[in-house]
Amino acid sequence: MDNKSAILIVEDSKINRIILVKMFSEKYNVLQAENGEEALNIIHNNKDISCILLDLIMPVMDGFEVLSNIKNDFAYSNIPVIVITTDNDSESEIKVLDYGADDFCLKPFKAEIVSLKVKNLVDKFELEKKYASRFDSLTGLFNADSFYAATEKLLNDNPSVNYTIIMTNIEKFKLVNELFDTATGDAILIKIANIIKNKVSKVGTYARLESDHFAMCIPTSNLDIDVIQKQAGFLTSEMDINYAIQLSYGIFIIDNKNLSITQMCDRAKMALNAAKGNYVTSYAFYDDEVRKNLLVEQELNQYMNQAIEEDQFEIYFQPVYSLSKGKMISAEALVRWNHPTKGFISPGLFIPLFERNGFITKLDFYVWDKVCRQIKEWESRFEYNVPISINISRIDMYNPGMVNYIVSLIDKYDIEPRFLKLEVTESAYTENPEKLIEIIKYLQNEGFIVLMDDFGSGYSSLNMLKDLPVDVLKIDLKFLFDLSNNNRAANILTSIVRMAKWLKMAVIVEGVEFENQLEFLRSIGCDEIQGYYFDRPLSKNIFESRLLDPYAKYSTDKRELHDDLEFEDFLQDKEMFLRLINNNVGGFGIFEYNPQNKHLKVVKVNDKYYSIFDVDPYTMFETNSNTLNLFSKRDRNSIIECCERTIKTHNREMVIAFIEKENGEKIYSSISVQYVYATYNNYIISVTINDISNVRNHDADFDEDCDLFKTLFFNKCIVAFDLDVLNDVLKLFIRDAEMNYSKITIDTSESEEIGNSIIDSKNYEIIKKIIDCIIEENSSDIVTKEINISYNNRECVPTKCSLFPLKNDEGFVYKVYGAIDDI
Amino acid sequence: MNTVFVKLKEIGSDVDGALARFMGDEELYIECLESFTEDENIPKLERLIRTTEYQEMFNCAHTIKGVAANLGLTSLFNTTCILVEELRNSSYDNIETDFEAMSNEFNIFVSIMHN
Repeated sequence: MDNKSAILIVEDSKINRIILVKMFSEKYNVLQAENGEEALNIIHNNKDISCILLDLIMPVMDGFEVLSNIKNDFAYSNIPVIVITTDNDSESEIKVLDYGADDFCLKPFKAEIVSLKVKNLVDKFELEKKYASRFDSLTGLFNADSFYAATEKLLNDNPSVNYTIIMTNIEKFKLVNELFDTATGDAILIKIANIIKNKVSKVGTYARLESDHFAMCIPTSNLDIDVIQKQAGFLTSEMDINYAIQLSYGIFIIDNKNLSITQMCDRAKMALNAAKGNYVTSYAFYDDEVRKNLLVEQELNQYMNQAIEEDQFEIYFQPVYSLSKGKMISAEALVRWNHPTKGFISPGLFIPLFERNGFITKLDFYVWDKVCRQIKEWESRFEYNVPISINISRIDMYNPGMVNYIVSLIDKYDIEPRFLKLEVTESAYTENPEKLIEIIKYLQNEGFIVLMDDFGSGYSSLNMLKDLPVDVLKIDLKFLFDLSNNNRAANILTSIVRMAKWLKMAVIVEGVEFENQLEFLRSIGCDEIQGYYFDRPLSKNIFESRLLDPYAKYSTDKRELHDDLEFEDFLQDKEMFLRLINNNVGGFGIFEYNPQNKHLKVVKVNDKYYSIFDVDPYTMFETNSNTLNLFSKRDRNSIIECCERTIKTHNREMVIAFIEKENGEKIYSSISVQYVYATYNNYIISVTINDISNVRNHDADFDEDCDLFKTLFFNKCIVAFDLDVLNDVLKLFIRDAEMNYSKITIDTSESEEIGNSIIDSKNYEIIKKIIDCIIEENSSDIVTKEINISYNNRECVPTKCSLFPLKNDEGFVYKVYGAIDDI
Repeated sequence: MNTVFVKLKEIGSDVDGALARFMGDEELYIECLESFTEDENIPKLERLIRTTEYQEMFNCAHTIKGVAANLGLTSLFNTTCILVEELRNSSYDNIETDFEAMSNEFNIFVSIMHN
């Protein structure tokens, strides 16, 4: 085909046609049609007509009809049309132009004019076509084909220069088009194109390949990563859109000039794929790593089916331990690929690949079947059995048969649903929330327990927790990095654990490796732990030894974890709090004790508390107010000591102290404190304060009798007594039903009756004998004896009597304290 | 063939203009002229002129007009123009007479060509 442009002459008169053909046949390839119908036929069957000369008055189909046909057909409407006519009135002119003609010519033809008009139109038309085939219409950059050609020429013309190919594209450009609109999206593309053009046009080639993919070829010496990184930032600010455009770059430094340009671009593209989705660095170099990974992936692709048939996938089990129980309570099933020649292939490598190519479902189904079979086998072999959890990939969610398959496994192996726990990932929620909720609800209905794996690692919002009815949250500690340096992370974790409890969700923390992590987790109320600190994922055989002996081999304190849930309920539900607390005798409150500055800060108190202290709630809750300030100075230390004691022992500890009111009045109080739980930087303790001034009023001298009081309160005893050996004075403090204490002083040398009214004579004799013994032997050992006493007009009750002798400086027993406890 | 050109010029034809259109190709010009003598539009018009098929008449006359113009046949062109305008404007009173005039010019042209 010669490279003359083609024009079409549509004219019914032969002579006119002859003239026109004569006029143009030298320069152009002239096609002819006698009427409109023929003309349209020719147009439809010829690709490259560059101009049409159209007579108006014709039989069969007149010029207007032809014109209208051409101009309304998208495929041909841009072909220029010159209308030829004998009518030279403006009415015709208007009509002709209105129909879309590009120009018109009068008969008789002025050869030169017609000729020039045709030439201009043909040239313009052809230039446009050429432009369109070389350039991308939106951005004006080269298109793919011309880029490859231009780049090849660039490389050939400069054999000594080292070049780099860069592929770039916008992260999630589809989202941009949706968030804004295609017009904004296009504007962004044009902007990027201009930046690229400005930076590259003098040194290399550049193109827009398709949608949001751009390519560049520049000398390696011009490669400036910083500039690349900064570009996206300029974009957003210049365009005044509230969205950070993120560009990703794949960079291939050309080391092999024998590759075709397309091959080089492919490598840059591979690097780009490696860079995508990584918000930390937005670029990646093509290197052996990238290629290696690609080759490996291709290999894995080949082997995966065979791997299933040959049982190369093995199941490993990682135990989950309960701190409170000190033993393994469940385990997570994890798949391992043990290839006969390649050895163990990392799940980090094959799982994402299988998720991409869809093989994951086949693998998961295979794994789940294997796990269920194993559960059944262990059921018959071991006495102690734990539930095993399996992972459901987000890809599996798309498989309509997945749920039924899981249920069918339960039937097939005849195991209880609660023994097969199901772990789903957060990313499944972000992709398709409704589907996930539906699936979880169905499975729970069937009796399964559902866990949310890797909670917190994805992009889900609080909505997810609100909507997703999971039973257990699994938190991976690694996302918190190094706890010991990261206060904020620790606080976040504490809050999550607390929140999970409020939501009635259990929490498993995985990824626990070190003891300090364990201690911290314990202190914030975590019970279930999975991690290398206890066990890495174990092969079936080693795991079986855990089933034989599930107790944790590491130091775990078998002390029961305080269930702080009740107190949390108090803090949440004001009504319940008040109802429960106000029924308590005395003032009751929840406090925060800070061991660093030894401050006691009130969190929540009951009404009685205010009246004891005679302060209003506002003063009480003033931010920095330290409750200790409400007590007499001399007592503050002992209260602090008491707090620290309870924190250490987790037992109730008591102290007696004076509350000092603003007006100077002192209130004699017993203060009992109880450790509740630890947060990261302080402790929560509950405090009960009883005003015991009424007891105080029994002529008791504080200094002398305070030890007795302490004994009473410490040990919750019924009777406490203090025998002054030298003076023969016995002081008794007896508790009555209303928690009041009465004091009796007896001269032992004189009477035994009063003693008898408290203790029956037989027992009294026993006690007396013991005391005499103590005095005689001058022993300072503590003696305890079980005796029956009646007190407060009750029947005889068994009690334990404890005697504590005290020696003075000279080494003689001078006092014996006694306490009688109700047992 | 110069005589044809001379004779055509004598009756007022724009031979030079037409030749220019033919890119100076005299042979081709003569060929077309000869071809035109057998143009069927004239007899067709003759048949139609006594009918009321004005649109057909118009088309024929219009075509003749165009060719005549391109061939430089001025006098034929002029007479045809009159007919064409009349038909265009639907004033049919004088069409027969004007056709006669046109036909006359055509015959003159034919006789030149055939000699």
